[in-house]
Amino acid sequence: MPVSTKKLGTSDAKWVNRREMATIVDAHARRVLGVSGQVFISKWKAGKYRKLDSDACPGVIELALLAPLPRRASGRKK
Amino acid sequence: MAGKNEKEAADNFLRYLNETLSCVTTQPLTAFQQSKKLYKAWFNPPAELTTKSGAKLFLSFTQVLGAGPDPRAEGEFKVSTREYSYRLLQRVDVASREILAYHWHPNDSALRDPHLHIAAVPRVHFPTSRVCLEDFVSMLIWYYGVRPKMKHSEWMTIVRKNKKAFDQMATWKIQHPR
Repeated sequence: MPVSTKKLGTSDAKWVNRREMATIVDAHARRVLGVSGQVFISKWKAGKYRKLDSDACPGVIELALLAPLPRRASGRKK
Repeated sequence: MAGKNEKEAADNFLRYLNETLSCVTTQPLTAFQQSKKLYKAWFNPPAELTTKSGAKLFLSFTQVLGAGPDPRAEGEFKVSTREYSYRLLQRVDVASREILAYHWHPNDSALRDPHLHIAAVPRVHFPTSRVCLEDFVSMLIWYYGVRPKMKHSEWMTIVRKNKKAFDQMATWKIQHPR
């Protein structure tokens, strides 16, 4: 699911914009769960995937990390 | 790894991540700024690794990063790791079953502590402390035969330097203070 990317800043990372990110999440959702990115996000918010884990559905955790899902404010500081 | 604003702090943190990962791959991370304070970094697609026997393995790396004021340095900003997934795969396919995976995803499931998945022992979430990227990269080289992209002394220097930075900057290592 590579998309066109461009270098920005000085981090040596390839930054993607919002549209490219949506394409990436959509492709990931289709590959891992067979649904669109939008359907994944809707079902996730509704709690449909709460019990899914890596063993039952490899790649679903990465998908959840990449998708624009609600997150708690508290993070683990580094 | 601090910065004068959130974006600069994220850039500096991504440089640190890319440096550690450069020990085993030349593929740069992909990054996305979801908001002023929330960033994501991952390999797109999973990075190809070559072992000393010539076999291929693949690294799926994903981190969610939060950026905010640095409580230790007034006027500066720092990045916090909020979630991570480090997966070692036999195929480039993100949906393929991993050889092993270190996860910490407190926002996305009932299991909120860091844990390890091992393909040979399915359904078990082995509890771990927080796993730093440097230890994971070292494990790939030492135990999975991944061929480093540089001399032994060079990758060891990078891993030691960045692990020391992790030790100094991380505000938790065993159990997050909820």
